Amino acid sequence: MGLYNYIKDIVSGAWTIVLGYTVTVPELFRPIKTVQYPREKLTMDPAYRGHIELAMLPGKDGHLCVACGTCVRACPSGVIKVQGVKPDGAMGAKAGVKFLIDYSRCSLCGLCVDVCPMNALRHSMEYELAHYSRWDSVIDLIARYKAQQERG
Amino acid sequence: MSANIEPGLWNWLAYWLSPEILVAIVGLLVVIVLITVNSIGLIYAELKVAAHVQRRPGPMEVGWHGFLQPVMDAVKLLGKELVTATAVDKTLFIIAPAIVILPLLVSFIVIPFGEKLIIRDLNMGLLLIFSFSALNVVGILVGGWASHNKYSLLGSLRSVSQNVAYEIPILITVMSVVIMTHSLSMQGIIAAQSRIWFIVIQPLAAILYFVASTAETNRLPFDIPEAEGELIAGFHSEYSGMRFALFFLAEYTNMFIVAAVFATLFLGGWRGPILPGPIWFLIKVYALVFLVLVARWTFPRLRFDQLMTLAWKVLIPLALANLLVTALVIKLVQ
Repeated sequence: MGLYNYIKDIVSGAWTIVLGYTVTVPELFRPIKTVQYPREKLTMDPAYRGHIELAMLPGKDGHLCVACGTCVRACPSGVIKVQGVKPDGAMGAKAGVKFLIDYSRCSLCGLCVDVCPMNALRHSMEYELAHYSRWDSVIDLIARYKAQQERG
Repeated sequence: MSANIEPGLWNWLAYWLSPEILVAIVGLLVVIVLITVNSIGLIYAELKVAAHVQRRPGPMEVGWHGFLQPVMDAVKLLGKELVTATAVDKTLFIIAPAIVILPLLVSFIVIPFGEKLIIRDLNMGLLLIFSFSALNVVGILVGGWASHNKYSLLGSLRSVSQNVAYEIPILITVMSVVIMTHSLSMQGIIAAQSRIWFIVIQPLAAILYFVASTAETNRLPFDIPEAEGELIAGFHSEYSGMRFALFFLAEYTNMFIVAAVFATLFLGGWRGPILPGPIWFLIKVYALVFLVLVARWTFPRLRFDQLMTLAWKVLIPLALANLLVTALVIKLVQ
């Protein structure tokens, strides 16, 4: 019985050598999963929460922000600053001309996105958020919006 | 005045640069270049195989697909300081890397790259390879001992016990091939395989040799002497710069030699259709090396007692049984 088990162990052990290679060798030829980051950019998941940005309106050149200040009041960290003007001679709503956030103190809670009555805000897909100075982390959303529009 | 000196100089050179010595010098240079190129290539292969098994791209930045990465590593090691700790035994510490690498140079004398491409076909070539690759262990022991470091010492002690254990099944399996060929010369063994490769006749011996030789080269899953999790880097923990690189060079050269011996013993050496002999030989050698590289990412490291159990309770009895059966069959056929 001892000899039988001994031989059985050796045969099954030898078989695992073959099995092991059948697992790892095919793995060698399967496509690579990692991204060569600085050379390739990531595509973020739709649920990703970057800093906020002004939502793009397809086919229009303006944004929806009316500088009502709801987001400024809602922000628990107080990082949003909005300024608006009334268009010349126009009745009714103002238009936002300045929209700054200090991303270094933003906690990404998303309350501003939730409270915005115009649905003008959304989370961006931006993930390269390292900066050299803390003033670099102050993001001008209007400028960002214009740059995005130019890129189309 | 120069006219007086020159004939004497030429005579002197002609006396010393006899064809044998020239062949030896050229051979040595070729072997050194071969060792370096082989090691650099294998380091690259190792990085790439490791990466692709884990579905990473591996080195990609230096040169085309990171091809120059091992070269840059070598340059970096050349530029590093040779640290010698105060407590080490200086003489032994310095000569240990040399003891590790020099015997491997000798082994290249008898490796048959082709029908004519062999430095010297000694009639006991196989014996020469095994006796000199056994010296490798002495270097590891000396290095570990001289480092005056508990991890180095433990690593080298493990290496010695492992090598002693695995030398035996290797020699016994080789013996079962040798009693078939009646020759210890590498070319003689290849000549005996002109009709059929010995891996067909001796599959068990081939597997045993493969497993035992992987252990002999301290490769994973048998890299007990340098088990990172337990012993930092084992016997070469205290080494830096080119001294460390020599240990590395020795490991990769050892892999090449072991694979070359396997190709000679079981795969018909340089024999093969269409392509010239040396290319066949290198194809066979690097196919085997590839298997060893993949083995690193396939099998978990053995515990020390499992390692010893495998050698003494499995490999040696199987090798002995294989030798016995081979001898019996040869006797009956005669």
